[in-house]
Amino acid sequence: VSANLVCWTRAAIDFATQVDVGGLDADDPHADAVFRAIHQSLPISQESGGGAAAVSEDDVLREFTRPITSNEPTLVFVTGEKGTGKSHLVRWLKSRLGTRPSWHVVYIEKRNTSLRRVTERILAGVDTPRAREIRAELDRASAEITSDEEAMNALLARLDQLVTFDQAREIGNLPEVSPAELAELRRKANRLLGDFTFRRELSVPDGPVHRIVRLARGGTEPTEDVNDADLHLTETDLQVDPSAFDDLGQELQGLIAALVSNRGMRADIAALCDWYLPQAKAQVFIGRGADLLDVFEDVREEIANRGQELCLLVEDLVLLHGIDRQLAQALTIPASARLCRLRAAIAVTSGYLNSPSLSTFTDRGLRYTLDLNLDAIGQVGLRDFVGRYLNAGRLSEQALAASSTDTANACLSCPELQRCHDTFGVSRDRYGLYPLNEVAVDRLIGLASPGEFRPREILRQVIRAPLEVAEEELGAGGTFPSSRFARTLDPTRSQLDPQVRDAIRRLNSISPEAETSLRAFYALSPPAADVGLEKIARYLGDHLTEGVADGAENVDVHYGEQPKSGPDPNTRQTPDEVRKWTDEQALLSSSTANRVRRWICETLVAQLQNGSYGVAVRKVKSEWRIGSHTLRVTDVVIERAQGGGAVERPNPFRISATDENAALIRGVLAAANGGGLDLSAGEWFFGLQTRITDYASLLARLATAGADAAVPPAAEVLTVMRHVSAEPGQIVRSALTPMLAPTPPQPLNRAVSDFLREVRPVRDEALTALRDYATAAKGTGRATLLDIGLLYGDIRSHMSARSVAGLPGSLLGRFQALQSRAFTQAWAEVSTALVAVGRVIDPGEDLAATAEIVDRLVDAAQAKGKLPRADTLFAYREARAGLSVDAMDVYRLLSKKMIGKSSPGDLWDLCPDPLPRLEALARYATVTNDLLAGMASELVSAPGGGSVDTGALIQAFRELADMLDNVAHTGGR
Amino acid sequence: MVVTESLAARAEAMLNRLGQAEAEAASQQARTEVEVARVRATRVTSDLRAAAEAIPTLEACGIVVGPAASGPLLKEAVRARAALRTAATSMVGAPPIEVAGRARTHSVEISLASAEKLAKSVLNSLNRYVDQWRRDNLPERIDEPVISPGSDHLVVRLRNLQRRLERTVDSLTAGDLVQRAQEIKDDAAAWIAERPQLDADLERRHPEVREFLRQAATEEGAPLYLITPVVATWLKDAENSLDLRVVLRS
Repeated sequence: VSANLVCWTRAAIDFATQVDVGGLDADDPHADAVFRAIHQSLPISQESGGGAAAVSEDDVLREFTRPITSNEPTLVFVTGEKGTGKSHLVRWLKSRLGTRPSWHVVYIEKRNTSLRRVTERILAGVDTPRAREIRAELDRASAEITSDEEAMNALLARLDQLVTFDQAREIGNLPEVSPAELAELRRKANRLLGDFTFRRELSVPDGPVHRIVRLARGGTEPTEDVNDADLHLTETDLQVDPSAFDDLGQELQGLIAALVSNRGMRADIAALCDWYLPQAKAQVFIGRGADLLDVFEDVREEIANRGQELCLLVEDLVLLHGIDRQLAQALTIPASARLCRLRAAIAVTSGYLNSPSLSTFTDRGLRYTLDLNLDAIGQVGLRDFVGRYLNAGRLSEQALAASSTDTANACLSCPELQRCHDTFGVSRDRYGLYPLNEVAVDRLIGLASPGEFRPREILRQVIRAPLEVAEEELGAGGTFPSSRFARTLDPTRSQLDPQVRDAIRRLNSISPEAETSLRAFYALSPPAADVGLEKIARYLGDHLTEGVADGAENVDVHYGEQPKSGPDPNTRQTPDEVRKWTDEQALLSSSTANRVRRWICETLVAQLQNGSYGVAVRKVKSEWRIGSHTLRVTDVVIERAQGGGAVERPNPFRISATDENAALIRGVLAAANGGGLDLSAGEWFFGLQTRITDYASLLARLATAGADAAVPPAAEVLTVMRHVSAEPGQIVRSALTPMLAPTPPQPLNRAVSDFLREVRPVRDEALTALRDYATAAKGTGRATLLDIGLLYGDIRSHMSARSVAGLPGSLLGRFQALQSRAFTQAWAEVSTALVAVGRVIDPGEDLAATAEIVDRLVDAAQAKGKLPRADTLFAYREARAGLSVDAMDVYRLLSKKMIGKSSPGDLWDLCPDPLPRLEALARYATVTNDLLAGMASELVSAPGGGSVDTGALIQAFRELADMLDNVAHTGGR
Repeated sequence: MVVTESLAARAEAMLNRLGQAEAEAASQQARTEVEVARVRATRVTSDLRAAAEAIPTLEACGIVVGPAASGPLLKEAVRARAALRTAATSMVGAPPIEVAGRARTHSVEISLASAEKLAKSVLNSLNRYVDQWRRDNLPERIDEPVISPGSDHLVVRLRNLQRRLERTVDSLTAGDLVQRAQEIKDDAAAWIAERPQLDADLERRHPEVREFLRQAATEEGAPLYLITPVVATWLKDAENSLDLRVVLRS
């Protein structure tokens, strides 16, 4: 016989585990049988006089069914928080009423509790003229409302009318608002509710009004939790989008702006609307002619005429929003000769009864509160709770129907009873816990309902979901419990350390997931395999790995050691950061994550440097340049880790939050702290090493990717740019040095100097490309060898090129643009200088010969005092000293270019700055020219020149001699 | 500007020009020196000749012309004559540069200076002889003021004659001396002939007017009391007072 029985039916489990007893039809015998099967007594306290006393269900029943001896109604309130079983107790009361001919019982369920249906329920069995009128009114109101949209429109219109035209000068939920302020609030509310756009905003699907309308029209689904707040309008419901009102008038826009920005204003208007909301709902969904007080009066008269009492049971009063206050008021009307006696059991949330406006109602009733703290129920009680549902799921409909007050035990007819109960255990009712065990029940309840009793969650998460998984896996002969088991409660099975889970997966090749789930949920002290666990494993056919222990919190613990955890299945040591990361979806802190990232990056770099990858590696600040690729610490992408930055990296080294990676991270952290690599026998490192190697290979490929596109332009740029050197080289071998380390001539032309500065990023980019793609690394990873073979062809083909051409924005294009601009600027200055020189000296002049002859001329003129000015000699010698031997060659070369066609490639001819030489040449030629011009003026031939008349002199001397001779003879007379 | 001639070519041309200019400068110097010496010799010769030619004319006017040069000057003149003749002889056939050099010699320079000094001495002596003759032949009352009874042509002429006759003869060339001697002779004759006409005009005036004019012509001037009613009446005639000025003296 196969041990892996599926001894329950999903339908039975689903029926029994409806999250609320309201899902069970009140008048269905099968539902009643199921209810009896699953019912479990819960602790109850009775509140009276400010104190509370523990009572039993039977005490409540006794009090409720006690004969009424006065005209006062008997009111029993069952209070408690949402989901605590209030409705269950009301339902239990009903189930225990038995046959009472003198009672007219009206049971108002939670399911399908539309306002109309509630009213119809109350009128059930009453056929009076007034009842018929009310039914007609209900029919009319129902016919008017055919859709949620129509209902929303009608409700808002009714609300608008009530808010605007009600004459009350004060309302209950705005006690501090003056009449004037209330009038102003009414005006504003009217302005808003009367506006089509505002109504549309409130009426959006799943919006506030739709929510209210849907509840009022269709009641609630059995599985739906309804909050009290869902039945009301609150200030958050009025938080509309102002942009929706852009096309409307300023007055309304101003009001909307005030509404959106003023929370107090929203709260006041919401309170005003909410005050009138029940009335509006009643009028829309029941009809304006149907007054519940009248209905009740008619009903009680009719019942009194029959000689009966009215017994009203309400599963949730709050859901009757709209008629709840009228109902409360009707229930306080005493009995009389005309009106029958009345008893009512009403489930309601605790806060509802605290409203002052209901004090008359609440003061007249007995209040019982379900005390659902876990201590009161106890662990065994919880197991019993689960056991009842499991048993209900195993019983057939006939078996349930055959049960009267005592529910049958399905296990009694099972051939596997003995072994099953021995293995999985039983509740106190002797219901087998299969396919769970006590530990699993406790642990799942602890996860589903931590710290408190939340029966709905227990039904969903502890019974229904695990049994669905078990049914599928056991029924198909598969391994149970798989990773799907209790996945919504603890998907990672965090009772086990990630390393333990990882070890199980690696070591258990048969049923790793089943072993993990068993150790996590069924073991007394996870992950240790106790005797009970081993029996379950054998029963289910699951394999348990030998020697698996939890070494997570102490990284020095190795597999094979005994577990340290105690017998308490729900306690475990405080998880470390890594375990929180994997099990609790917590973020790994940036400091931890960055240590891991750095360690992995450094390991990668070490591998690249020491392996046969041949790529150059160097560290730049916090990054590593691997050929053309840059490795950053953020390339190590750790799932759910801080400090990784927001930028998506193209080639990440991913570490997802898995158990295997938890071991990896622990190992890395230990190694980063100076420890060895042998944590957990070093298994993490072996796994990592494979990934490191693969990733290093990827980096090596990335490092050389794109070489075909990057190297040729880089080589071309550097080849052309070598011309900046005084010796650019004419063959590849001699060109390499000026390519890589050019030595510009001095003085360097200013425009060329500017060009070199501006082109530096381009040159650096070209050099980087060569370094990244054309260098090889030796052992240390540093770029040491230039692989000229990759460049030879590109260099050789551009040896004679003096300029480049490329697309704008490309390396060549940028170089081209910069060279062109630099040449334009440099050539403009040189052209100006050439023009100046050309005015005073012809390019064909033999400057050496000229200087020699002018030197002679200056010396001769100086000797003869024939220099034009006193400073001519100094000026000439100064200009002569500044003259360089090659000035004339430069002048001739550039003059030819000036006459011919110049191009950016001529920039290199301007590197040895020609301007000083041209200026010196111009100065020398100018001084010489001035000298020659001045001497030409000075040496003009003297006028009147001719032969010397010596004869006249001789004659004059002789005549004088004769005259003197005469005077000497005459004595002067 | 297009450079049409190379700097070297222009420098060569200028170097050649510089040599040529040097030669031209030397030639010009020689010519200047020869010319200067010739001019000096010619001018002295001309002066001495003019003096010799003026003496007969002066003597014809009545001027007594004595010896015109001192003994030492005459001795120098003899030596200068010899030196100049020697120099002239040596220059014959010599190149201009050499002629210029000889003209610059010290002996020639001394000779020319002596000749010039002699010529100047002769001329001064002739001036002195003529002035002495002038003083000796001044007419009477040449030193009295020429009193004008009114605006009168005669008065002006007499005053011009008086001024010229009283001017010393000095620093005139030989030719000028001849002309001056003739002027003195003519002026003295004119003075003698015309001076009495003025006296006659004055006598025709009222005595008080004559006295007033006589005093007014003196250096001290006429006192106010001489402006009598008659004189005042006479003065009211604009023509009579045309030459009169009132001078305030302290």
